[in-house]
Amino acid sequence: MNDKGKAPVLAVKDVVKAFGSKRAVDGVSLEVMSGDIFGFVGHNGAGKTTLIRAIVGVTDFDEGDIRIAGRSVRTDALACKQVTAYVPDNPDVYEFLTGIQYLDYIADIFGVAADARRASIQAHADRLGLTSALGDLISSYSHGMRQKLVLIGALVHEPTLLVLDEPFVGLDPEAAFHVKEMLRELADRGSAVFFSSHVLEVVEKLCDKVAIIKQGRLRACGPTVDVVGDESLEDVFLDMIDREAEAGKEPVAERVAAGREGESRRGGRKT
Amino acid sequence: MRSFILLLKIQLLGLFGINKALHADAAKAKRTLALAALVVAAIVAVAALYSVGVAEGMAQLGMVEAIPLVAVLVGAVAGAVAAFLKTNGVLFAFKDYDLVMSLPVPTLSVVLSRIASLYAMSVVFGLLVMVPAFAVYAAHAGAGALSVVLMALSIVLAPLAPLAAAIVLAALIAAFSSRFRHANIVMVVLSLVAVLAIVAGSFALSGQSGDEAALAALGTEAVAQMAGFFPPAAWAAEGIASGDMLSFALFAGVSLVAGAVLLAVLVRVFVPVNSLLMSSRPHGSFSFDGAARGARGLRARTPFRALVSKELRLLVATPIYLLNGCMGYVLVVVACIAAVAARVMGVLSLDALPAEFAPLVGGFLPWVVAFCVGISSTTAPSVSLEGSSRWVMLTAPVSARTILGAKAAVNLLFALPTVAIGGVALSLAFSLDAVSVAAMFVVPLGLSLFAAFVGLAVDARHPRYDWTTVYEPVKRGMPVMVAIMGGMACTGAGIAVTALLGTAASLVVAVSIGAASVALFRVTTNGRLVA
Repeated sequence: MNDKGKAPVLAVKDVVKAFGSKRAVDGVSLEVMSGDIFGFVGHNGAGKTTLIRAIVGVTDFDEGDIRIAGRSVRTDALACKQVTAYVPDNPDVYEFLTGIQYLDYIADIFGVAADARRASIQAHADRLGLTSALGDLISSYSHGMRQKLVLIGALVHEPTLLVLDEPFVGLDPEAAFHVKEMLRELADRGSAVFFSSHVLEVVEKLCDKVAIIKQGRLRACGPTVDVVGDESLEDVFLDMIDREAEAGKEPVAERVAAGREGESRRGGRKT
Repeated sequence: MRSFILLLKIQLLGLFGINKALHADAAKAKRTLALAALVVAAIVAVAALYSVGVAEGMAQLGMVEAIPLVAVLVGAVAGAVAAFLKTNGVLFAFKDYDLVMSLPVPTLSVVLSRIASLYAMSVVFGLLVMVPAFAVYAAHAGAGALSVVLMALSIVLAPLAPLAAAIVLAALIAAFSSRFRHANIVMVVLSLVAVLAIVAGSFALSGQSGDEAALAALGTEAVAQMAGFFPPAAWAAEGIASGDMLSFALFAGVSLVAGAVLLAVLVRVFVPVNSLLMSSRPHGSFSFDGAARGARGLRARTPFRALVSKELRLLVATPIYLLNGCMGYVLVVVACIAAVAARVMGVLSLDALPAEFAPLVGGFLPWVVAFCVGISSTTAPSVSLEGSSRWVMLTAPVSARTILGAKAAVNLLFALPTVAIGGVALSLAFSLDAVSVAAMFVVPLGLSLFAAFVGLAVDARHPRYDWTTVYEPVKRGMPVMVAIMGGMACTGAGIAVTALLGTAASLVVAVSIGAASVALFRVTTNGRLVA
């Protein structure tokens, strides 16, 4: 894949976010291009959700810049939000609304015309098997149904950038399959998809690019085939954790940059 | 026993927010604890003042012997009301039900720990009301050691029977609500009727004030009715006032039996009731056919209108929020209708007042209306109420001004018609002069802007999203306190200015309050919303 000359849909540049003395995100830079499905991997507390929340404008950050479709989320927040959609890890939505009222509300907020919203909602709800429940209060929905509802809402305005935090948690196998298809179709239409996941098999199969974050810093970032090489993403991830537990080791990101990534993996863990 | 203590410890840490305060960063913990201490001190002071005032009033009317009865009754009922409001969320439909019930702990321990935390809260309310009243009684009646011991016992025992009734009532209402979509509306209407009845009753009583003997007779009659309403309180009072141990033993027995029966019944129905409350499943009848109700709803609106609609739905779906935010408006409208009706029937006439008092009505009546409007704020808890769904608001491509403006608009949707109705009705009912007529509109309008914008600005700056039941932001939130106390302070200032400088000056005060409130809103909405 050649990204030269293309403007990134999402550009994260030297972003730092600290909570007190702890740097949850420590100088992270990455780019997501149009058509990309970008996987973001790391253990619990590594800084994934913090960076995602900074990208979608839920939380502020201390240093660096985040640009969506060429606009800064700091100085042009509303324009960035207009082309972005977010699916959080815990799909808490207004329980006092019915499913269709929530989707109608989201469509209004994003200024989606009546015909377009109906077509989008109907298509996605039918595909995820949620149509018959749309007239019911969200308070009666299961976690998986809420997840589907939020995803349908996220797609209603055909976002240029779709950001998802653990999107496959709580989904049944059929829905997970359809969601993967929907993400691929959205990317094929020219949007960019950026998501975090602990399901490394899904990330490896679905994503064009992948980044691994640990203790707020990127340890690897690039096309999935380059990061994984001839091993699995799980091997690479566990290998990285093992090796970096030893003091003084050179981070993989620097090895990739220096062309020594094969060397790093050869001594890696096999499962 | 060990499991009960562990479960109770978790309950109490959550109930009073102690654990959160202890584990926040040092500065935040200090601020939280200082604020909590301030609020507790204020509540204790107000409760003590009120309780002492009522008890002293009774003593002045020669009703010292009736003080224990009123103290036990009011203390027990106050605790039960507090427990009633917390039952759902603590005993039923609580968030960690699945986790707790999966633990290797007997159901009895779970139920006991939940009831114990509700009981602890009831006792705290009982202490607030009963101790000051008992102190007044002891001072006037020269209570002996036995009497003091029985007073202390009554504080512990009195909440048990009302608590049992409150829990049963809360369970029935919760079960009813879970089966009927519009049960919330029924609850709101019933609650409104109850509050209006209480207010009307208070006015009826105060309207009969006059000579002390008549008031004492009325008080005696009221005490007799109270004794009939809750006989155990009368038995406790007999013990405290007359040393009648048999009566007190009866009171203690009934209270303990009520508690034991409640426990026995709850252990049996705890799992079935919670299963019922948590088993609501979608009906699954929606379709996109043209005639379907949901499909008709798919119309494009502006973001502002969508936000207003969402806020209204939240208000209607949350009875305690609706009652708290709109009770003042209902009182004003009902009072206005009553005033006009009284005028039409010839009952209400300024001619009946002494000549020097008639002009005062036009000066102070606007502030009475303004008081009701000024303490009715739907906006003060509205940002915090976004709770765990706040990501929807924070990721929306809509400015903070639009989001907060929609919340303010909902408040004004209730306030402005109320101000208009109040202004027209009371101006007609009391045949006011031009300045007073202007004040009837301007003064409540100024306070309604205060109610709409000030609490909202505070909540936007200091939201608390981590609540577990809506009761917390709606009833106990700092922005709500600021809005209500601020509304009272503004009303007090306005009344003082009217008394000193006249009705025209009160117009200046009201305009200043309104303008400052709008300015605060504009400053607040220049920034971004806090995550």
